[in-house]
Amino acid sequence: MNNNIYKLLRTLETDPSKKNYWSTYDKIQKIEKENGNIPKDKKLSIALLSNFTIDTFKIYLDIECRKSGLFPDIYIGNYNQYTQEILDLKGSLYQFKPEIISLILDGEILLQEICDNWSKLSEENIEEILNKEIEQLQKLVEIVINNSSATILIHNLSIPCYSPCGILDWYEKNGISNVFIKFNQGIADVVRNKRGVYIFDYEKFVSLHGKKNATDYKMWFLAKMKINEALLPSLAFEYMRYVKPLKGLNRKCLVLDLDNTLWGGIIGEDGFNGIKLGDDPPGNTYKEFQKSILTLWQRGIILAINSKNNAEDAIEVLNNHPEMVLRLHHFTSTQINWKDKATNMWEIAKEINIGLDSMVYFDDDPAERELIKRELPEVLTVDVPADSAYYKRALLDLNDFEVLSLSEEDRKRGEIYIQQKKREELKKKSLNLEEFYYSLKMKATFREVNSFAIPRVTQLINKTNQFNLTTRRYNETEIQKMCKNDEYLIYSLKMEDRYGDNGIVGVAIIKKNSECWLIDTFLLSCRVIGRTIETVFLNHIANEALSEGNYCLKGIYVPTQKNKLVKDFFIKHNFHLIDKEKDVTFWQYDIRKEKILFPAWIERI
Amino acid sequence: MEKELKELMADIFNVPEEEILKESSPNTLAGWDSLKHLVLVNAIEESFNVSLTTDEVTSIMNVKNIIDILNYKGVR
Repeated sequence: MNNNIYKLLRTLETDPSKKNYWSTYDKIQKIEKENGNIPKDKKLSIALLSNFTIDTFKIYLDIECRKSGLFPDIYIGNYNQYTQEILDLKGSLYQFKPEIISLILDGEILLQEICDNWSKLSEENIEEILNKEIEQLQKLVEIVINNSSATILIHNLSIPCYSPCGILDWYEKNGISNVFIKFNQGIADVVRNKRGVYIFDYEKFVSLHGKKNATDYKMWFLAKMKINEALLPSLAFEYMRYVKPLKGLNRKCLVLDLDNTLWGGIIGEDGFNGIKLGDDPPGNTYKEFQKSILTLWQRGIILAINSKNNAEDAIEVLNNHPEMVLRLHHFTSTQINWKDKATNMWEIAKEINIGLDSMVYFDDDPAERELIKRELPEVLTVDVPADSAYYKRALLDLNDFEVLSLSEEDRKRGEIYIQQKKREELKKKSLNLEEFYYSLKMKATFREVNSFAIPRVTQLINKTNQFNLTTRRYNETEIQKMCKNDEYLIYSLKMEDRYGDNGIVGVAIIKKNSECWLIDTFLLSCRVIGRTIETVFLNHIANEALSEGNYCLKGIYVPTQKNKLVKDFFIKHNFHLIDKEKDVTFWQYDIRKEKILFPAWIERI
Repeated sequence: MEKELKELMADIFNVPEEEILKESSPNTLAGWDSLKHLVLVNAIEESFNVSLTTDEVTSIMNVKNIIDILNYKGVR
């Protein structure tokens, strides 16, 4: 970018006054005239057509385009002549050969006939007028499509704040709000089947910024300027959501730090159970943030990790932490090491085969952000807010991730989630649960717990309330002791299904006795309830017991507020009740006499 | 205040400060069309921290009018 233009644009950061915007705009126009040589792919011609005074927007849109290195040429249609200009095929609009044509319509002007005469019009009259306006707009859009290759933006209407009916507006079939909403839906229907035509959701834009301040009435009466100038910089920013993908300036990859970015705390210090991620604050801020990242992934954005950590610590969380929304497979590249983060960025770019200018970097650490800004200015380093509660907004406010259409590949990402929904629906519909279970393609792995699995096992023991027969809590030290103690056996159950690896989802603690094995603890993560997995687990324990020469299993059920779910667990599995103390029940099962059937739809690994 | 106003207008109309006179009006100052008029009004409101009413805005015929209005509003 021309250095002088760059310097001028920087002044707007410290002085964003109207005066400076206008002055900066004038100065930049002068520089451009003197310079002359503009690279072809950086040119952008935009035509703004309106039914009110829109001239001022040119300043802000021009500047916003320049910030992205573009050289905009903006055509302003004559006041309220958009119909004539669109119909005049030999006129200045088409001669200008715009790449983008934006139709900026004010609703109170467009539907003035309805707004001014509301009380005199019948419901049918209103429908007629509404349909006529929508048809008219449709015809204009079609003429533009047939005579120009421009991308078309149509502002939908801001729903007025005041209605002639007062509080009875929604009582009426065609109250003002409903009229405007119908119009907006009508034009959305018109646009839906056409390529290259988009609704600019102006209604959403002014709602976001507050309709109270959307119009400066003084300027409306003096100059028919319906949009408050104070909103124009933001409007220009939103326009870039269309401009960037059109000019190939959108970015495809989001690179994320881990500690205090995807979860609260530092995995290397706080450990698997110490990081904050879940449904309680501050863990919920990170979980929400992950969900918003997931929506970007579903739209086709590539994810990568750039983190200073021991890879195993981090990957353990990515694979096994029950509250993680994002999993290892969501990330196309992971640079988790102790190298400097700029080097990592290069590696990521190489691995994914994209340019640095296609990357966005999100890191809570200001020092790391400074490093990347300095070393790799082509990367967009997000100005991350200090409070994780605002991460989601900071991410979704960016205008760099838009695409003008979803490719087949992008759509497939979403398909997996659609399939999951279908799976749920199938389960509801299907009387034959067995088919459902088979379709899940479940695979079970049983292990005696080793030190690696202890943190996860401990977590499950302390967190699981529903599918838990005795709800006995043990801390990590106690679990470690039990592991080393020959009198105890601790088993973990890991499950995979067609959708992925669920990690360790079941724990059983057995106290060995001379003849019987006592089930001290038996629990399942709530994720895998309702899939007969408990039977598999029990079967495994029974087989192990038998192989060591024991012939019975004993179990205890301690009822709590939360574990009513397993009230009939022992009965279902053919245990006999042998004792009862208050509401605690004791059960026994003779392994020699009866077999616990292993469900055929689960594969044992 | 007068000097500040002249500086402001020189910037907006892209002319040297000396060319802004009390008699300067849309007839004598190039580029002073209805749109520039509003730009000027906005800039004056921002720089001097005042609010001009619709009547005041439509009554401005030359630079002297602006000075009078600002004086009336107590701008030094």
